[in-house]
This record gives sequence, C-alpha cells and structure tokens, in this order.
Amino acid sequence: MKDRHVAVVTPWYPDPQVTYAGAFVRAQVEAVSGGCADLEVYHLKSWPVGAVGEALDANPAVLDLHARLLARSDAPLATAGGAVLHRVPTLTPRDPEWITHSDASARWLRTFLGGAPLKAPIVHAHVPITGGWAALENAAPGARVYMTEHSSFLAQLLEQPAARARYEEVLERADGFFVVGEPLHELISAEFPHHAGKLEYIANPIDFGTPRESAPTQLRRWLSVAALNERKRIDYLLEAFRRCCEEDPGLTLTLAGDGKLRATLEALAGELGVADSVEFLGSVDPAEVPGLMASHDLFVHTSRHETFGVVVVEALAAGTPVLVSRCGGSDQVLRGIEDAAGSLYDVDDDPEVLVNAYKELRERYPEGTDVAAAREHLRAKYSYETVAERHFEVWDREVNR
Amino acid sequence: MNVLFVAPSGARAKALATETRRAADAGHRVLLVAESQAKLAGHDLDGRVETHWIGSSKLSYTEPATTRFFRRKVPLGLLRRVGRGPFRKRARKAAKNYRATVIAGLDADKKTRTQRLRRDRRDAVVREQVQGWAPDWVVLHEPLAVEAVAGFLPALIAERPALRTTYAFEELWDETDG
Repeated sequence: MKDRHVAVVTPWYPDPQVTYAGAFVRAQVEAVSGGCADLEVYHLKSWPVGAVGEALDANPAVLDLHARLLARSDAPLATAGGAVLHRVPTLTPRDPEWITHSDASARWLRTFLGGAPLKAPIVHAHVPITGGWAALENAAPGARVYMTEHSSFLAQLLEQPAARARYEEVLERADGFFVVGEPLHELISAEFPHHAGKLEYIANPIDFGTPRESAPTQLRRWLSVAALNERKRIDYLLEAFRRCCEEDPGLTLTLAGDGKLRATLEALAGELGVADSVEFLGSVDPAEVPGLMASHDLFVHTSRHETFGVVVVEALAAGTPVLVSRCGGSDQVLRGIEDAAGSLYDVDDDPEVLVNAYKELRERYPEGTDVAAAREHLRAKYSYETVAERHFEVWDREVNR
Repeated sequence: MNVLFVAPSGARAKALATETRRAADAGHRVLLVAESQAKLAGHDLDGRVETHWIGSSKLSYTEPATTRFFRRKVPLGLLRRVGRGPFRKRARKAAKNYRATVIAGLDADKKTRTQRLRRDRRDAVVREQVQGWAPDWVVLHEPLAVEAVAGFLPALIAERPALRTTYAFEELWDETDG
C-alpha cells in the first residue's frame, strides 16, 4: 500500500547547527518513506525573541514581518528517504510556560500554510504539547492525527495547569497516541487514568545495517554517548572509571557528546588523574555513532532517567556489549536479554555500584554473554523495517476497518 | 547571485559556517553580517565568504559625569565619612540601602541604554548592508536577524518583490528526488 500521503510535524529535527537533535524523528522518516507516496516534514523549530518574560505580541512589527516572510520564504529541503523538509521557524517568547510554546507552534504552522490545512490525510506529530497541538489545529477535516511522545521533561510540563489542560485536550483529540517507552506510559497513565487505554507503544527505529566485524576480546575501551548534563551523570562515570583504572591502568574512556558541564567534567577528569585516559569528542554526527560503537569494547550508560534508550540499542546494533543503568527506558529495551547484552546496574550515587557491575561483567565476558543473540532480539523489535511496519499498521487501521 | 547572511549574534555558528560554504560552493557571492569574528571561533569560515562585523558589543553607555559625581560618588563618600564617627551602623545601613535602590537603578538604566545603543548599531549596520550590498537573496539565519530587519525589510520587499528571503541555506529538494 504505497498511496499513503503523510505529513510529519515535529519541533525536533536535525539541522546544520545541531545534527543530532531529533535524529530519531529523521530515522522514523527514513524508515517509513519507502511506504509513502509522499512524505512532508514540518520542522517547527523554536526561535525565542524579545526580552525575557516579554509577551510574544510585544513587538508587532517583528511578528508581522515573520508572518510575511514565512509565506514567501519556503524553500523545500531534501531530507531522509527522498522526503521533503520544511523549516518553519516558530517565534516563541522567552518564557518557561509550555502553553505559549504550544500556541506559537500552531500559530506559525498555520501562517506558514497560508491558513490552509495540511494536505495529507495522515499526520504524525512528535511531542504532543507543541507538534501534536500544531498538527491537530492544522490538519484537514477528516485527516487522522497520530502522535508520539518522547519528552524527558513531561513531568515538569504537567505541573503547569494550562499546559496540563492542553495536554489532556491533545490526548482526547488524537486519533492515536504513542509513547516510546514504559516510563512515559506509566507517567501519562498515572496523570490521566481515563486515557490510559488509548496509549500504545511505538519504538524509535535503529539502524542494524553496520555491525562490527568481530566481537571485542576485552572490555577495555569504554564509550559513552550522552549529553554532558546532570541527568547523564558523567561525573559519576568518571569516578567509577578512575576506580577501575586503579586495577587496570590501560582502560580508556571516550565521551561523545557536549553540554554545559563540559568544562567542569574536563577539569574533574584532571583532578581525578585520568585526563590522559579520557577523550572528550564533543558532539558527534548521528552518522558517526555506529562507527564509534564498533571501535570500542564496551558501551557504558550512566543516565538517571531515559524515556527510551536509543543509544543502548545502537550499541547492541553494532554488536558492542553494554553496561547500563536501570534508568527506565533501558530496562524495557533490555528486558529478557540483560545478561546476553551485558549488564544492568541500579541507579545509585555510589560509584562502587558501577565498578562492581563492570567487574562482574568483565569476569563473565565473553562466555557469559551472547551479544549476537541480544542483537537479533532487538533487531526484531527496533529495526527500520519493523518500526516502519508498525507505523503502517497504525496509519492503515481506519482504511482497513 | 549575491547571498547575504544576516546573523547578528552568530549564535548558530556551526550552521553558519556550513551554510555559507554551501552557498559559496553553489557559485554565489556570499556576504556575512555578524557581531564579530570571535563569535565564530572554532568554526572554519570559508575564505570565499566576505564578512562585515557589527561590533556592537564594544559599545557601552557612558553616564554623564554629573550623574557619576552627584549620584554615585558624593552620597556614598558622605556616608563613608559619617560612618567614621559615632553613626557607623546607621551610615553603613544607609549606604547599603542607597546601593540597593539608587545605585542599582542607575546600573539598570545604564544597562538598558547600553542594550539600546547596541541594538541601534546592530540594526543600522544590518540595514546598511542589506540596502547597500544589493543582495538577491537574504538568509535570516537566527531569531535576532528577524528583529534586526523588522524596521526596513517590508518596504524593501515591496520595492524589490524578487528579493529572495529564507531562513537557511540548505540542500534544496528537487522534485526528481521524490
């Protein structure tokens, strides 16, 4: 069934400035594009304007100009799988209220479309509060609107009364509402129990096309792919790494990712005396990740909380064993294959927990693991083909009814 | 074509380097208007890209000497002198209050005026470049760019309807791709 006409509405999508932001949305586009007659992506990127706390309407000349420019500045771009990408800069006030960002997303998409609805009869939005609301408010009458929630900030968002009311309305109006992992399912079910039955799972697609040529012989070259922020607990990783280095000074740690803590963490590596063994790569292009995974022996994840755990699947897709914190999404991803894939350890402030998990895994590797089997298990759930089929099954439900 | 990138803050420096190079590769003459070279540090700007730096961050509002003397120096100097006598505690408290109210107000005013000066310089330089360089294509590369051109671009578009405006210079979709 190739006559699907689909619009994807998303606040997150890679661009030349941040090539990894929303890489999973581009992966979804790439996965499903082969099953669509046409696929257009509307990237509603937030563009904060004005002074902090100032209302969006404070400078009407800027808004008027932006409205005029949106109407004349569309330059359809090429993106994954031959799909078309429209960048729609979404002017937003510099405030933390999600309701204003939600309103702005719908407003600027409407302006961009010249007041006409989206042509596609199938609309799939990402991030319901912004992309989802914009999709609902701009879909054609009779179009079916689906959405996927990925947000790690959802709990904070639901603390804002207006945003919470908007979220509930989005939940009600959506034709299908998907989450990428159990933590989000549990949160939304708890907050809106009357809508719990509407929630379904849909995974982020992962590329299984480039496995490493041979399995690592020893687990000595560690890799972390994570933003350098508090939630990812890289300070914890550095301390645990230092303790492991005391026993094996030949260990190395590569940190791929950037963030506001970079300078602090670089200083910490120096203070801990492991600066020579730790490499800070900065942000890496998503296309480089499989190669990085394949050139290291062990993927180490220390995050406190994750909604899905894309990088864990990416590591195993490359054939690299994993040492992962029980941070929510990763638990679900590795359920039933924990020992085959590597090891899961509890989120705890004591670095000794990670040290012990590493030593235990090192002792039983490779005989006590089966990374190839774990990889096949995940391929059946998260490959591009599997995830694309899941989308098609959802999108075609009404047609098949 | 003459392609002008307007990026007053240079906040999206990595994208700026990529997109200006792409424009130059496409055979366009490229001019970049941005705050300063320092803002783009660490991102190799293609040698073919012409640059014009706004340099507004060098500007700051200078308070009139009378304000500095009569509202900053004299009151605090007097309170310091009084504080050497028996009214030490009261003078210290009064100085603290004075700093929290009057001096803080003067500082806020200075900051506002400095911001206004910088914004005016930014808008004037961008206007001068957009009008003087005769671009065929203007890339408004960041939110501040829209704010910087709001005062004159509508009139320019009315005068030159063929002027192309976009928010990025990326690989265009070709119908044959689809």
